[in-house]
Amino acid sequence: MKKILAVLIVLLFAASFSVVAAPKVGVVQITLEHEYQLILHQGYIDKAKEMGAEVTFAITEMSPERTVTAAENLIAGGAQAIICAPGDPASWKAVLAMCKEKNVYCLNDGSPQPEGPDHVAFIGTQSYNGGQKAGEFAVNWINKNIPAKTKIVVAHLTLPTFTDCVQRNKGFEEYLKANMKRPYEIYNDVGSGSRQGGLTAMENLLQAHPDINVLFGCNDDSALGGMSAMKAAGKKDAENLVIGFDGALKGFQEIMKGGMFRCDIAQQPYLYSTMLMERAVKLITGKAKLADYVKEGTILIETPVVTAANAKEWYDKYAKLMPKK
Amino acid sequence: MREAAPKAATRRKLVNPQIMQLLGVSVALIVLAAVFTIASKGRFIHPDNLLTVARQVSITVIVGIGVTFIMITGNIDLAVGSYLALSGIFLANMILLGVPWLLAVVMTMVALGLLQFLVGTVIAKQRLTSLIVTLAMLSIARGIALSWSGGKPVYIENDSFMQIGNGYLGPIPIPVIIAGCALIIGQFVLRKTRFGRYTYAVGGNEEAARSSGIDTDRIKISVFVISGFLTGLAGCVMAGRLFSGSPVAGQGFELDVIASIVIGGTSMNGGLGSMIGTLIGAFMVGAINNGLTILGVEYYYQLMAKGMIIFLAILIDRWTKKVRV
Repeated sequence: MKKILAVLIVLLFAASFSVVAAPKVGVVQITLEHEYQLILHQGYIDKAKEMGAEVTFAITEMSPERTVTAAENLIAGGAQAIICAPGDPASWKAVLAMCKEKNVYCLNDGSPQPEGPDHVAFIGTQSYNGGQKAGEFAVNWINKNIPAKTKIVVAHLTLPTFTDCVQRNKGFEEYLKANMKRPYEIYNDVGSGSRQGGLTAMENLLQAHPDINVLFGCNDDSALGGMSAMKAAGKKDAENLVIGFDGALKGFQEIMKGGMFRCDIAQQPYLYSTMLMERAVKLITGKAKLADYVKEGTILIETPVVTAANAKEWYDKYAKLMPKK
Repeated sequence: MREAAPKAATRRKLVNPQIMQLLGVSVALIVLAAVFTIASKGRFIHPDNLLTVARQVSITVIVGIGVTFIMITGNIDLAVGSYLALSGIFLANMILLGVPWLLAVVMTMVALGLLQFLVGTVIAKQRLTSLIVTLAMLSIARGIALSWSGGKPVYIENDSFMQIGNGYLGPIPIPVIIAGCALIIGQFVLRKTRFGRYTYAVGGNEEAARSSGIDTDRIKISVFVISGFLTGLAGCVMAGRLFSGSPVAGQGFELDVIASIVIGGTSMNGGLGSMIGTLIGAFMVGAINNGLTILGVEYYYQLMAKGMIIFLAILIDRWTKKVRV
């Protein structure tokens, strides 16, 4: 009897060593009220499941102080790595300092920030380059479709408090400046990154400049909102151009309809989130070293240009990636 | 003939209503903490996590003390979130100009105090509703913060200043110590001074207070000034946490503050309230944010859960407040 008990105790003891806690990753996301973010979210969940990790989320609604609070709460909840999407450099710095203090890995999912030896640099979109691609599409379309006598009036909707949007607008504006040979006017207003904001901003811009015939929204929501204002103002599809940025399903649908929404600069959120989650888990489990990822530096992924030629293909691809309910 | 002695009056339990309020909300907080502790397998109650929650709510407490004064007089301030941002921008710019950080903090508090002096004067002398005036100030102050900063954070590169938001005195975070000091002073002023008694009197019955010789306008203006000083201080603490003055900080913050104060038993109609109640209410709100994140509750359900928990807290508070005076 005593021998059986002894064997049982030894077996239990051995078993306790074989139970390894799953790696725990905390993700700070800016919002879940956007298709890009939903696909990003799903990517984190899918990759965590595939790698046997636990993932918890905190949403900040783009508030810098909530970013800091979110990271604190996730770390308090046991996260061994934080994947953070700071809306601004200040909150990123605060999160980095916190992770360093608590010996938690930190990975950047928000926007390019100064690189350092203590975190994994940004993996995400080439926002400036994407803005340039939008500019390129605009210039080519204008040259082909707007008669020489017609005034070119460009509007772009911005979100000045969000670094990525600032880069997109900058890329767009600078491309036009360098490559548009015809005279043109350009105006902007804050679209707030939302349909409501885009609608209101564009209504105001059209009041001041009724001849606007080209619109670039720093994201699809503001572009779609702006487009609604243009349609309400009686603008014809054939004579006007709207370009979005993000790769929302609605954007692809509008392109497929053949109306004035002709181009979307797509991001690849599923790709980023799965890459980041893989790095986070490998760091926690010791399968990778921080120094190796630091050496890689910022990874900016090209933004595909989605037009009528490939909109269906992208629509089908992204529809599959949307969260399963 | 002697009349029969009247039936002995039913014994009524005389209990201080304010104590009953505190008891009610304390019970609610304890129940909440217990639920979170059990569900998180002890992680919620870990001293590290409790200190994290304390640091997170310290800004709410500092602002809440000021707004409690305002609400006890029967008024409200919806602009505190915007003032928080404005304070941070003001402070950051003063430090950039070479003002020593401690002096810059004092200047920020004085500046916000002066601003609130104007607001309080308009409300008191013009007999305007504080709801409308402070709603207007919510936009004005935010606009000033955004235009002054160009929509971008204003970075503060001063290691000793950063301690105000991220430092420790022993194991206690410095923001907690600052909030504690503000609380002690606020409680003393409210409960032990003539000014405090007049504050209650103005909120309880302004006409009666005026008739009894209290300068009600002076009291109203004074509570706004106190709130201005404290919001300025809180803005400095937040800037310390964020390593910057952020023009978008504090969005929606007024809701957290008012929720904390109301949960803590301060009446929206004035005449009733306490600093301790505000403290407990702030912990309630902070604990909900922290606990739900630790438990990995999905974001959409978090929003619903927060509202329901606050609703339940108020119900428990009312249920325990069975008192007849």
